[in-house]
Amino acid sequence: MRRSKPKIAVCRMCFLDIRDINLHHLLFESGAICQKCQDQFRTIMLSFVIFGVKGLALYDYNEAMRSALYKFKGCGDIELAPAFLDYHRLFLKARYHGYTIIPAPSHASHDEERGFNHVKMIFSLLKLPIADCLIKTSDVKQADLSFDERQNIRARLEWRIGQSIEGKKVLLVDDVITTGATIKACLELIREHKPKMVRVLVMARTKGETLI
Amino acid sequence: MRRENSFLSRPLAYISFDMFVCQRCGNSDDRYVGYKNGSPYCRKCVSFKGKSAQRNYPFAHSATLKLKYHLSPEQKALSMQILESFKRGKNTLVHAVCGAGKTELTFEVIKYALINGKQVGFAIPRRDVVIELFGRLKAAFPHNRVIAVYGGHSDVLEGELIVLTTHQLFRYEDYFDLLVMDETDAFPFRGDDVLLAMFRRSCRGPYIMMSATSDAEMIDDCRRSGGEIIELNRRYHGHPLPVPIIANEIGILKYFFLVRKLREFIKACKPVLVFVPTIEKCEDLSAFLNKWVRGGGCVHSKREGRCEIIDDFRRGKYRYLVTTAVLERGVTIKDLQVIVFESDSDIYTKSALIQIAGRVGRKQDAPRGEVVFLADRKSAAMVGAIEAIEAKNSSVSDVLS
Repeated sequence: MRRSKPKIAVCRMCFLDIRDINLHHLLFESGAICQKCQDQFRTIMLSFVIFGVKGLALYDYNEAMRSALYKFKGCGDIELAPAFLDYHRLFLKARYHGYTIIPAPSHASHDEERGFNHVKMIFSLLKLPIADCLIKTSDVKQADLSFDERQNIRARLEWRIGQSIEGKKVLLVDDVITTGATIKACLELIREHKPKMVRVLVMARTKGETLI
Repeated sequence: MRRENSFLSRPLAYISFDMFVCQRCGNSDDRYVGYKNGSPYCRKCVSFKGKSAQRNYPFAHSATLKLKYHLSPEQKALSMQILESFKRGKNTLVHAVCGAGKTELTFEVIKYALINGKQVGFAIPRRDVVIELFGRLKAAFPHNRVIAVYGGHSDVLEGELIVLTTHQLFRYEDYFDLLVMDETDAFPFRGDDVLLAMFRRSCRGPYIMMSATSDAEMIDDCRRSGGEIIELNRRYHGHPLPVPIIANEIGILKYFFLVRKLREFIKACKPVLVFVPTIEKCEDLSAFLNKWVRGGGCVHSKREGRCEIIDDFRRGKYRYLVTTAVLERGVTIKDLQVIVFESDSDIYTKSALIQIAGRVGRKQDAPRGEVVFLADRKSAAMVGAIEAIEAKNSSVSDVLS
């Protein structure tokens, strides 16, 4: 049972009232976080090609993004979920109309500990159908590995039996792209199941040694 | 028909659900309450997550205090006073000027508590200061198990004497028989009610708070709990605090003044700290100054290996450092001179300026030094800081005469 919402919208990041209503707010009704917090995320809208597939990275992985993601993923603060994509929601909805979302996999034990799957939570805002067809079989974190070790991720991925994406337009999504090894391995798996079209959407891109 | 509208007929769980109060930080504000899978949780203290300490550490019931230096008679008298109030279970607030030797005042009471098998904690808001103080306490109590707990260094949580940042206090619920809290006016502890709630939650016995610039709220809080307030308006070497000088220069003239002043100090072989308001300014100014005055470095919170840079500065590898508020407190360097660049910035509050001025003249053999506030205009904080320091100095001379 939820209590009635407070009358003034409250920013989900800094907990202050959202008072500075601007044109973007009025036109697109985005009200998860205030403009100040949104400005801390640096939007880059970077198009890239990985493994022959077109991709888009929304934000730069800067300090604000790192701490917000830590609070959301690491501490399990589920209310932060709309904060990441709300600002670009309509653009993304228009661009990826008719696609089915495939979230990049995370190990089940991490999701259980957190209480939710963070990639699914972030991208469920787009209101697209979600096909959860990738499974990660071991709980090795990519972030703890070196560049070369990361490339072995293909051996740790599996296809969920009974899921079919044949002839569908699919959108592979992930929160952070670093070297691109996970995305590449996922794309290999997805290719085997003959979708009509594949696109990649990642929320934040880190600087450094990458495949893209 | 059931009496659903009656308040009493509601199940108890619903009532407590409706008025959610966080068990950890005591928050009941609506805006901080989130819902996860239908049940409420507190978003204010959600980032305090990790394993908490166990109470099973065997105590040695003995302690030896080893100090390389002697305390002044005044320090000795005050540390006995603190010990007395601890024995009677009272809280203490120590209000002492920068460089008075606040930390040493608590060694006697820590020794007493360790001998009696009490759990002692030493909390500080700044991580750098924790690391520095850990070394000092370890040297002072060589036969006891002293541990340091801070962000990224929290594998061992149990010991006889725990030195920790205020952010780690959440691991110790109802834990410390004696909790010493230093630099209470420092960011991020000051004005953060979550950290304050964590502090209250981890106290089992009395606390000792120490600060150079304690505010009225803290003093009130201590008085109300029946605590004692101890004042020390004099440095351990007996010399007065250096009074800052205001240099008003406009625009680009500030840079000329800065270069001239720096060269003057360096000619006299004195290490200089230049404080700037922001990290970007720190980088920019450091790059600019290096073109005019050689042998400089820059230190800020985002810079890696800043401990090494500060050590190099102590050893004389750098002649001056450009820095942000990271070096505002807990740093003792011999014969240091300080220039505060753009001291009219909003981030320099009165207490921050007093702390910065307190970096100067902390050693027995170099008790004097210069503090320059360099800005376009005189701000209220600058004037207030100078007045406060002068007031403390005059009360010293009253005592002496």
